[in-house]
Amino acid sequence: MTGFSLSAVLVLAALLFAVGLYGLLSRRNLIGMLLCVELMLNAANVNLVAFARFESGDPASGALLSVFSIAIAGAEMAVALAILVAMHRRRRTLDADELNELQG
Amino acid sequence: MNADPVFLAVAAAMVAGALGTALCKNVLHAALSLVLCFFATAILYLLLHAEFNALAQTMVYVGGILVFMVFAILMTSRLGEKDLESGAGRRAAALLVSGAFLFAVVQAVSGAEELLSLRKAANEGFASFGDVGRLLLSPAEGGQLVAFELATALLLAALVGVVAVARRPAPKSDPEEEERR
Amino acid sequence: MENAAALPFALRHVWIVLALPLLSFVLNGLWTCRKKESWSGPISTVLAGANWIFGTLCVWQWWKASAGLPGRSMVPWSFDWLTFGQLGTFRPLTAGIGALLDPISAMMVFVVATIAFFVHVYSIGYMREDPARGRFFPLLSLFAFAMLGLVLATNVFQMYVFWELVGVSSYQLIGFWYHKPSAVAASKKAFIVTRFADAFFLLGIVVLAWVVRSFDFSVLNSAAAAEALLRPVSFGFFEAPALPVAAALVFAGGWGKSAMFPLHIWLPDAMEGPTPVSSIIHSATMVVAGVFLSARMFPLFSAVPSVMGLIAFVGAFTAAFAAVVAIAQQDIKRILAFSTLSQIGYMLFALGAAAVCGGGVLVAGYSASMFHVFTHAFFKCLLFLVAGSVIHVAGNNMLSCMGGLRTKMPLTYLSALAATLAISGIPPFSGFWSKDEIVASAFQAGHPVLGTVGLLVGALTAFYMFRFFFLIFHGEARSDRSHAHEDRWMTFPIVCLAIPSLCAGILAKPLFESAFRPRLLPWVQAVEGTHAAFVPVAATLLALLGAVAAWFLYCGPKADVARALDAEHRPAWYRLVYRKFCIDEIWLFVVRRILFERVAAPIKWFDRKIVDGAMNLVGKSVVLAGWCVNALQNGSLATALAFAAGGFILVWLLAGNLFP
Repeated sequence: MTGFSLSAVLVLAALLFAVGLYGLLSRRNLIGMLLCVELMLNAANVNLVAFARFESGDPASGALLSVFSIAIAGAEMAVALAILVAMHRRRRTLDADELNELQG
Repeated sequence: MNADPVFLAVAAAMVAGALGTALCKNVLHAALSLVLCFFATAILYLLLHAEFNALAQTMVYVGGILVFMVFAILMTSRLGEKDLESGAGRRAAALLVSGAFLFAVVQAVSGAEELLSLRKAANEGFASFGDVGRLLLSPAEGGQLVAFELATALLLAALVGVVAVARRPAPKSDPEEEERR
Repeated sequence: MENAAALPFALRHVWIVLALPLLSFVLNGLWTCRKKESWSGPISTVLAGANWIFGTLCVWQWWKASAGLPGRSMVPWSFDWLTFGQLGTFRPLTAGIGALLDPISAMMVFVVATIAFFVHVYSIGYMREDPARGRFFPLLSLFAFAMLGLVLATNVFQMYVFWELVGVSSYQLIGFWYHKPSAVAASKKAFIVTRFADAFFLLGIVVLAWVVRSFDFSVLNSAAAAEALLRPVSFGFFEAPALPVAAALVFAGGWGKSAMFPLHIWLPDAMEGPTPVSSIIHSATMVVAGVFLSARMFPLFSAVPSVMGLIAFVGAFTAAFAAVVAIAQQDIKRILAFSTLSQIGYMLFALGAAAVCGGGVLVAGYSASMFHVFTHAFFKCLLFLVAGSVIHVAGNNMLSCMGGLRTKMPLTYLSALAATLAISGIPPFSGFWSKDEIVASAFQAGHPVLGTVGLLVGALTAFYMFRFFFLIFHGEARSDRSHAHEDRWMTFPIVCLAIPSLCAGILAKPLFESAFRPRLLPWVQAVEGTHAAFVPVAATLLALLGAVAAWFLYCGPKADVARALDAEHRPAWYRLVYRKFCIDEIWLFVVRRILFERVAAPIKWFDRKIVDGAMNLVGKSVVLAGWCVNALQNGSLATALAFAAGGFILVWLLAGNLFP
């Protein structure tokens, strides 16, 4: 039996998510923002695994869901990084504040 | 609740890694902090007896994504370059929003009494390699073979898409592009 | 349009009378105005001549075709121009464009076309040296077009349109030399004063059309319309018969255009325009528009003796006032301007007095007024043309530069003598006959005071006109005359116009007495007066007295010309007359000190601060709101993310707290 509870893990995940959110909002570098998105995704995965461990009726499936999540996050990251590289090649910058062509 | 020192240490490492990711001026340092955070998360998964998740976390995130990301950082920025600064107003707004989020979650978690108990704790080997592997590749009822195959197809499509997006355009196709270079 | 096919060609196509001057305006305005300035004079003169011939033909054909018609009135050509839709159960209100030919409009067509032609011919000579003559002739044609449209109007709406067109073209012509500040000021003055009066005219039209539901003169001058107008109508805050109000308002328009006291102030200043312009404005066109309007609406107006009494009084007062002012003027064009005012006053007071005649209408008064319009047009046009020629030679408007021109300009001298005799009312020249009719009709209508005023003004007229004549042509030359000559183009119209000045009166008198009879409402009685025998004798004697007095003072052996030319070292009353009784100054005081400072300034403050302030507040708050929204839409990824995440969390917190 481990010596920590579900709520402790949930608060930890929330903390990670909040820090990631802060980074996402405060950073201007697109790769930095992407790192923070990863952090938030990781916090969600921690939540999934914790719930599988403590609350699930089918724990193996719960754990498996986070595995899929990690796989899909991998695919998403690859695409996002490819877009960033292409964007950097075209515009020579990764400053999110300069990417405001959609301004009305 | 007796505090488990191992858990506390892992949690501290995770938070430290996360703060480094969010606050480091240098993006490369932020990425390395994220590596720390992900390793600590893998250890947390081990503490939660989810060995397969821990392995996948290590291999996919740390071994795959983050290496890819470090390459991307090195491609797009010069080493030692200071990262783009953001203003105090934006930091304050970000702090406000994320603080509000944290407050909301902590309030919700502390308000839910039943979460504090370990009512239906799974057995310790609930996500052993054997179980997860069987489940992942089982075509039977409750098996995840279809989802697994779909995920592989998705990864393949993403790979092809990445190559299509990131490759340089053909040299003579766009004279303006050439000129700009 | 009564059986159009049976009408002769000229009547079926009477629109050509309007089309020719308009063509001249368009052709010269668009084509010759800039590139071929030397062509504009001949082109517009040829067109004006064609128009004169065609207009005369129309009048002749009308005279033959209208013999059996009531009042010799016919509308040979018209079309509906604007139809203001069906309102309730009323029939739609239609404003047409057309040509109404009856004695007064036919007479005016003939006069306007004739005068316009001679003024065009004269202008070729007068404007020869002017670099802007390419602009002058189109405007002159526009003026003739506007005046012809006005006199041919079949309805009051058309008349108003052309009325304003007359105003616009006179504004442009008076301010023709726009590089002179005085000309610009004079044109603005003419425009503003006549516009001020026209606003009342428009209100009158609105009242008439509102009650009668028609613009047509044939409807407005009918018994049914008069009955409708005499019934009390609610004007919102008071109830009264519409007719006196409408008649007074409509006449107010004529008041301004005909420059009756106290709205006469624009007319002397209008002398700033080129002299041919003064000639055409003062003789046949703009200033008789008010008289023409009153004559056109005469059947309706004669049902309201109060308004006709006002017209008679205003006319008589202006006749006397202007005659007195004319005596002391030094500028020859101003003398003629005030003499015009005086003569227009005659016409109006004859009209007004005719209608206030012991319950009936004196036929002779109406015809006398129209007769004077006719004769006055020729001799006044001639006098202005003479003044223009004289100014060309002397290089100045002032009497102090004239004198002794008799030998240099013999033809002009003789023509001017004819016109002076005509306007002074010396028999058998034309002015005598019409003026005699007017004075006699005033006595017949039972207004001995008005009649006496008419007689005395006749003496004054003879005096100031012979003063004008002697000081210009007799005595010693008071300026350099080495280049003096008579321009052929300018002398020709002068000599031509001398003929009607001599004989138009005696030839046209029977025609006017027989044909120019007002159409009256059924319950208005026509009164035929007897011509008092003493009137022509008294008028002739008084005119001769005025002429002899002028000879004695300005031409005879004891004349003191130097004193006559001095307006400064004179008694106070003389200087008051010279300054035109300070009416201009009074107007300036009323407008500037009272209207602008006491009335307009507070209203302006209210408008700027309260009304505009409220509007600006609304506008600025919208701009502020837009600025706020714009800040959300700045396209920045971070802002969008912060709002998305913040909004999500806010909704979550609210939902959690509102629905626990």
